[in-house]
Amino acid sequence: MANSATITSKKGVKSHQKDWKIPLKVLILICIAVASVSSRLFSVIRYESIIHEFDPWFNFRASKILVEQGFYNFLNWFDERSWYPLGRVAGGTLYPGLMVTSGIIFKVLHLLRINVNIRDVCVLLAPAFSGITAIATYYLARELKSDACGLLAAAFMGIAPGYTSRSVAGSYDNEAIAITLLMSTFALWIKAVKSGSSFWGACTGLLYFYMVTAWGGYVFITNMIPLHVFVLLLMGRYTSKLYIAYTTYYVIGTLASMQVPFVGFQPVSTSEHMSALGVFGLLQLFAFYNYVKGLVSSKQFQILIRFALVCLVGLATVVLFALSSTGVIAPWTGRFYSLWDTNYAKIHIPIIASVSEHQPPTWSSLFFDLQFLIWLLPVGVYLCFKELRNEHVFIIIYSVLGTYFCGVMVRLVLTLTPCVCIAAAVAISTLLDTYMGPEVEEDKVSEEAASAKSKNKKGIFSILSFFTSGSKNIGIYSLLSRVLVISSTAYFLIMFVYHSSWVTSNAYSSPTVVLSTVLNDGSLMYIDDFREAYDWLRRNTPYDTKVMSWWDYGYQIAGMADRITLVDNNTWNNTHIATVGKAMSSPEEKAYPILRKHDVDYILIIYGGTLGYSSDDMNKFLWMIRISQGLWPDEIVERNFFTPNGEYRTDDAATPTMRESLLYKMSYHGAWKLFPPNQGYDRARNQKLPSKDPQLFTIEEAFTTVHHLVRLYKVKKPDTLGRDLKQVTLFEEGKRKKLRRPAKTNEIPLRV
Amino acid sequence: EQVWRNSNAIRTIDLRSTYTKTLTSLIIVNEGDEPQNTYRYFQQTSPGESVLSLSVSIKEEEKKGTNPIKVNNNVYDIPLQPPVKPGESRTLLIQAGLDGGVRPLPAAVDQDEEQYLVYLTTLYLDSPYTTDLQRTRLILPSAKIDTYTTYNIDGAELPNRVGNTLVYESRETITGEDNDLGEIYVRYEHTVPIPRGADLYVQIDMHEYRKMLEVSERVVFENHAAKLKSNFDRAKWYMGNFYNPVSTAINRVVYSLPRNSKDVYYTDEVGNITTSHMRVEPHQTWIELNPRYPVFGGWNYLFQLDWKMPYEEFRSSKNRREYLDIPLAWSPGDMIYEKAVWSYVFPEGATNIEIEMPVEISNSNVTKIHKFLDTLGRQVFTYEALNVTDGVPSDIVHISYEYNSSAFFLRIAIITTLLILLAAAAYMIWAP
Repeated sequence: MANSATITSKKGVKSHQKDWKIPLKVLILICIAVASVSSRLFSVIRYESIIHEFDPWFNFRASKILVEQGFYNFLNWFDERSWYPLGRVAGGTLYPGLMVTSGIIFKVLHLLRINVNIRDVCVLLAPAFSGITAIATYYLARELKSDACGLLAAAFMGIAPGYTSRSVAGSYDNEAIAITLLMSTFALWIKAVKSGSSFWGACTGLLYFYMVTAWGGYVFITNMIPLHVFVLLLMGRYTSKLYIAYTTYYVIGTLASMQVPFVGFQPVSTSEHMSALGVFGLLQLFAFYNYVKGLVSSKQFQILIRFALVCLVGLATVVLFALSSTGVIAPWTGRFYSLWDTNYAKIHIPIIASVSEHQPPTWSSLFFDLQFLIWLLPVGVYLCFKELRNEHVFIIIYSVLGTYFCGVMVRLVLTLTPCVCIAAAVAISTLLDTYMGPEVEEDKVSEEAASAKSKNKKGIFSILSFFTSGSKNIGIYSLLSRVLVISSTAYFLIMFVYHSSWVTSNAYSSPTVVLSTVLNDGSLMYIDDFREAYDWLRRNTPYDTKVMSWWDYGYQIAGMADRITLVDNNTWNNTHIATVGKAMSSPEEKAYPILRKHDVDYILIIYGGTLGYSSDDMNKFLWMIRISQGLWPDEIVERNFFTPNGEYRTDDAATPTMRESLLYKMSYHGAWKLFPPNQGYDRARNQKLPSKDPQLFTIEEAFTTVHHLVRLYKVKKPDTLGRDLKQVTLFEEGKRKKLRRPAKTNEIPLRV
Repeated sequence: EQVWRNSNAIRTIDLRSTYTKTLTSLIIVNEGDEPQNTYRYFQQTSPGESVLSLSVSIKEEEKKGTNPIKVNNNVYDIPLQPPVKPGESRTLLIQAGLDGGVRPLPAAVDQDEEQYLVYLTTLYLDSPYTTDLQRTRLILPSAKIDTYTTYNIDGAELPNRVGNTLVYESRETITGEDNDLGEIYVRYEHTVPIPRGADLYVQIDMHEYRKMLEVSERVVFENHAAKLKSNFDRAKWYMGNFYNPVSTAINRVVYSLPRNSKDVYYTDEVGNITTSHMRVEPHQTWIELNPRYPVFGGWNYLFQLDWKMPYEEFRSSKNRREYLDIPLAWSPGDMIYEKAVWSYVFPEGATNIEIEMPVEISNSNVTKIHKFLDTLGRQVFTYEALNVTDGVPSDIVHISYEYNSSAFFLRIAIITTLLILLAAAAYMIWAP
């Protein structure tokens, strides 16, 4: 696709310059958009139109609220069915851009009487916007070099796995539309800087506002554009164009972004936004400087400058100190610290480090997501240095910033991908221009050769003149050289397309809700245990049932099972999450009061030992322990869950603390029944099952899915006679003939 | 007033279904002095049982069916036309569907245990008139009968048991004033699920141009079998399917679709269901649907099946009028649907629509909807019914309407106009 687009574009430009240039480019961009959309539909074709993973389920639920109850009910939405018993101010703590976009599309389609389901709008929103992203990338990249370069960048952007990973069909998350808005904002910003028009500056501001409504990563734009302006100022490139562009963008964009309830006054109170405000002020100083410079003489100007600098530095110091001490300027958040100090999160905020996409990437993951584009990034940046117009400065800054942050957090490959696509397009386009373009120059070289020959030089000079004569057999003018280089490039581009399709298909198109495996006869078997459990919860439990689980599954329980959750993927309350972790890590007699206080009816856990599913709760157990240890260091001690050798064991060598913990008991209860005697095996951790089946006293198994993946446990009610539940179980089993006096830990004294 | 005499009464109670079916055959004689045109009938029920449906047919009359008039709960007046003269007799066949009389005992069993059901009825016919001869037959699902009431009347042992049938026969004259009707209690083993349809929604879209019927059926069913005594054990369930597949859990629903059915979707509230099998045969298509989880007693399940069928299988045309004979539903019969809704969406341009529903309708309305590129709109006829029973798949809905194809041509004109406008806009943008 990319290669054919390039060749077609070149031929079109040459042979049909006036009549066919614009329609041909439109046609190519449409083809690129179609390729972008279709390469993201593997999961819809293979499985169905379904929301993927975890976070998208909340966004889908919010979109339903918006469509069914209207915009203001959506903004004022208080979700009493999550974070029980606290609830969540959902409408005020989310970025509404994604849901409003889906809502508008839904309304428009229904206005046209195309009666789509809101779920289908949500599932297909990301592919649809990926086509628009490709077009926005085209408009940005063509400013650097040429239209051909723009088309190449669009083609790269459309199918690069770094971008498809967050925009396949069903990944209904903020990144679905945020990258589109990111590229569009940057394209408009470059246009504003070039033209110096307040119209384009205003458009940039408005699109920045759209970005603010859509994604928390808008802070990247908030810092990228002022950094671009700052570097231009340092390079001595202040112009009134730059002043008009940035001032218009900043004022309109910032005021508009304050309308988002989740953002509020952050643009003037948080540190992440101070650089934008600082550059705005600096630009006013530059404008004033240039204005005053034209009014007074050189001597008086020098005195005035010194006086002004001293006053400004003093005033800035005082104001900064005052604002920081009174707390008006908020300190940086923990997630921001982890971008600079990679060990900060692991030590201070384990809840952030427990998310797998907050880890640094490996080198292989960069190649996986970008293939040979990653090698072309330095080449493209070097070529930007060669021309070094304002827009080239922007790409250089973008590459430095994107590379650094991508190195800290693997998730930010997403923001680096557009820059890599553009730089690679510059490199490839330059290479193709070099080896396909210089036919006109050949005539000049021939003339020089003719004139050189007329001088009739001898000896060593004749050899030198041969090499510099521009003969058709030398260097880039040789047909062999051209064919070799162009065919190699075409091969690399084809391999890129193949790699991108393969990665998108195999690595990024899994819904996670439905798994699949291949049986021995080659047929496909679907593993649908998650939906089986959620459907059972939905159909066979009361509407106000409270389900406790680790926060990974909170959004899915709320979205599919429609049941009340204690914690979910919003992770806004660390104490609440730590409480759940404590319940999971504690023995039953300590966990039961926690469950009772929170009115927990069912506990949902994921056990992957039977299926070999490695993302189960036992493999996340250490994070539960660490998070709860942060709040209760004397009750939950991580060291006690490891063997004296430092091993994480779940078989007979497991420590008593591990064996008595609630999550361990729930995971391995009854797991031996699926195996022949004494051959129980945990396929996720490659260890034997414990030889003694964990016995439960305060909870009982309610439902287990067909592949033993999702297990639901029902919390028992207190005994009506006031006995300890453990004694009740032992009594019913006949292990005790007499009724002893209850333990002192009983809350209700036994009445005689 | 004693004007009638039941000379012979045979009552058959069929317990093989998910609900109780009774067939009462009465030979009635007018012993009064004047012609009689009404017979009062008491439908006997167990404690907690209710009458779902009741139909009467009279053998001697040319028009076999008659409509009983409901006087009170379980009390009906059966009109007799022409009136019965003194000394004459009539043979009444009364069929009733009853619900709520069968219950599991014990109420909770383990998931691999047998299920026992109990049923209560009376030995004698409950009637305001005198009955000479009578017989009560109970037909049970199998011969595994645990307990049943026995009587010794005048040296005769009751009941007479033949396989899965119990026959209580009496030659004793029972007057209308007798209060002691005797009691029959039966407890039998029946380890099968007892599905109950809580909700049935059928929507049929008719597409004249595409010659296609789009059918959507959504069913919510519950299992009224014995509940689980202990917790659901997945491992035991898994192994039990090999050793002893008999269970009280609903694990299979079989649909029989017409031939040439296509685009079958099996979904529920959380998405596509992957546990189903489809087998295409020359005359029909079998779809074996497995629920996501085994539906034990007390649990419930929702599923939706969508498919498309060709028009020609059900359609005929006569005098510019289209006739469609569509089954009432394709969902499995032998089930009570507490509430059922049917929606028939007609093609654009259909007028003079007439629909004959074979069930008693409790509510109906007509609305109009618009789909993509619709101008006139489509009419939607919606019918609601309660406690729909027996023979749902075999009942036929008769639909007829007149179709005016001008609506279709209007749509073609709109599409053509839009395309022309688009082409003109493209030309005006790029040609200059």
